[in-house]
Amino acid sequence: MRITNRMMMNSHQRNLSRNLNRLHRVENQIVTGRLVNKPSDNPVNATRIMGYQNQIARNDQIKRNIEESILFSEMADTTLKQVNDQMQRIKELTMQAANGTESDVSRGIIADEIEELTKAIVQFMNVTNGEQFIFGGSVSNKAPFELVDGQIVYHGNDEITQVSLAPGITIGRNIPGSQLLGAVVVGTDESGNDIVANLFDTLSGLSEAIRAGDDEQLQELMSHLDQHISNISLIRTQVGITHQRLEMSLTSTENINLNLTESLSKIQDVDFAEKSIELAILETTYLATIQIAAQISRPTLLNFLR
Amino acid sequence: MGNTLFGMMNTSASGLRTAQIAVNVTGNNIANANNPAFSRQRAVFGSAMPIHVNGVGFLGGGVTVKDIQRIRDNHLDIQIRNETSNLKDLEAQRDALIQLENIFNEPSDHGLNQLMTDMWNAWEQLNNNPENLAFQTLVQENTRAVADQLNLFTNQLNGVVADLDARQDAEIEAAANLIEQINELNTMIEKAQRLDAGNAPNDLLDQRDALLGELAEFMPIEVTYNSNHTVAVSGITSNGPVDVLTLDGAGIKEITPDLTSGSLRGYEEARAEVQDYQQRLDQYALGLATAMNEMQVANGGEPIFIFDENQAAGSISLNPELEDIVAVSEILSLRDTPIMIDGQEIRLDQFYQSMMTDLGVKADRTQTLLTAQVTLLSHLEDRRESISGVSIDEEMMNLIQFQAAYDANAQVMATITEMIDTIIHRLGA
Repeated sequence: MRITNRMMMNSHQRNLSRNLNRLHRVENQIVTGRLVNKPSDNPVNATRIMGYQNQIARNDQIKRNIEESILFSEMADTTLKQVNDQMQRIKELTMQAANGTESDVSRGIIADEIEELTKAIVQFMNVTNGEQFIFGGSVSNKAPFELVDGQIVYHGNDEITQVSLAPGITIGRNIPGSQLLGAVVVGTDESGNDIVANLFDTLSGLSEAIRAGDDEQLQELMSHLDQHISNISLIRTQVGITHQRLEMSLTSTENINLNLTESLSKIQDVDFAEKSIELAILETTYLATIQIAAQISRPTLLNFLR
Repeated sequence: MGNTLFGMMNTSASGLRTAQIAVNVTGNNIANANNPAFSRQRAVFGSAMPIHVNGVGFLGGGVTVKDIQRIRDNHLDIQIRNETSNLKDLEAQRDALIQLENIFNEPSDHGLNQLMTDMWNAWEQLNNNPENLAFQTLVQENTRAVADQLNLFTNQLNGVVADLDARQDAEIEAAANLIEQINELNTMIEKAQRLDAGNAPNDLLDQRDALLGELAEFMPIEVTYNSNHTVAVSGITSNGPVDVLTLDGAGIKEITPDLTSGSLRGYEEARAEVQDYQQRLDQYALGLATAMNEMQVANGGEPIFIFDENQAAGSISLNPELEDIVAVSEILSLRDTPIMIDGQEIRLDQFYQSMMTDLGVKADRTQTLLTAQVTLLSHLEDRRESISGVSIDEEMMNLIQFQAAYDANAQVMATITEMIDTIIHRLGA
């Protein structure tokens, strides 16, 4: 092939630009720390990266959900324990009042104490997490329980907030306060339907019966109280199970995110050692190319004439 | 005549003359060594008419320059023009795809993918805290951010289309200008032909070849060489060849959509590509807004988005009359549920991700094709340079050779002069 000076110049220009291109690409990867900066760098991995990013951000949110829910369940557990303690104390007092040796005055004192304890229970059940009332169903901005003339009024609803533990898997975070009230069957009405008494019906009945010295009534109410105590215990057990499930989910979400982050890193992150070597090789090639370019104005025949 | 002394002088004079012309041609080659349009030229020597001398035979009558030849391979030019058209076609598409990649900016922490994730996370927080006003605001702001991003994409894609239009118009003007120059050269070449039918005006041919090469960047052309060295140029369209030498800017614009390659065609394809992504983005926005609105309205709320169905991505915005989001858990479920987008049941994230895969594959493939095309074209150009390019070494050797020829002829002439001198002075004395 006949070679001319311009041909050599052209081919050097081409090589120079090709080497610069490669150098630019590797430098860009090192500077950003990422192998894939646009979809065409690696179309398949680009999509996988987007998927991983989604999943990781989503799991972070799930982690926050779970952590918040754990706080909820811990708070519910503490509250239920306190409620239970009060109820145990009321039971003791009731038993004391029921042994028939107390005077009217001391029965009055016992009844007063039970009424105070009842108020304390209401207070405990109006517990908040931050500013949110936890026993109001989905109504979180208003105290769910209020005692009006010895009768309990529930301002919440029966909603259970479902928190996602993983895509498609949810858990009920809260116990609606209505469940805490419990329902003990105390008789049937004319049309055969059950008449039920809630916790506070029982408690106010207790203090009334004690004041009145109605031992028969007291015995019956004590059995109602026992049923309410076991209702609260049952709910505590449920809360405990939820808590356990949340803890397990937290661990597994953290593990999943660790794995995802690792997978993402494998296809996205630059191996700096490897890239530095690649860069060094490209730099050497580039240097060689410009050195040759500098020598390209080789002497022609002209230099040797005369 | 030839065997007279004066006749011999003519023979030497022809040698001097041809050597001089050859040096001239060499000088012209060296002068044009770096002119990319130039093809090296060569003086073709031929014998002059011999003279018949009785009893002797035919005596040579000296030398003439039969032709100044332009060393050029027309077939190579055809190949180079075709491949140039293909290259420019790809280049226009590649440039647009790069712009699309820059606009969508994936994978990154700032793309739509991330905005959607942020939005859904906000929805989830609201779902966990339904009565919390702060989370209502958070959800609405994050949802607005997605709508804003879709608007921004649309603006940017419109910008790319406007840019493509402007480039195409500018290049149509440039092509019209080239055609005008080719026509002028055709006229000049024809005149030159009438002046000297036997010889070609090489430098004008070079100029015209350069213009044809430039025209091939814009559109695929077929060049027919007439016997008088003028050319006819056809643009290749899907409807067959069209004589482009008669076209002005408006005429070129008319055939542009039918051209089969070249940058003008590349812009057409690039525009279609951008519009395709715009349309997919519109479908995405439409699917998102329709599904969300349906859930919200079914639960007794005001629509979340307002939009124009025909250009959803560009027009989508948060409904100013939106008060509370009521269908939180229902809408949140859209994150994991396939919805109707562009006639198919697909999840929003899947739809967008497959859009990006598709874009990546296209950009990658176009770049690969372009790289191959550049290599192919540079090989062809190397071949042309190998044939038509000026080599300084070669020209210097020719220069020495022709100078020597000139010297030698002058020497012969001096000898003849001496011979005449002998006859006139020595014999007469």
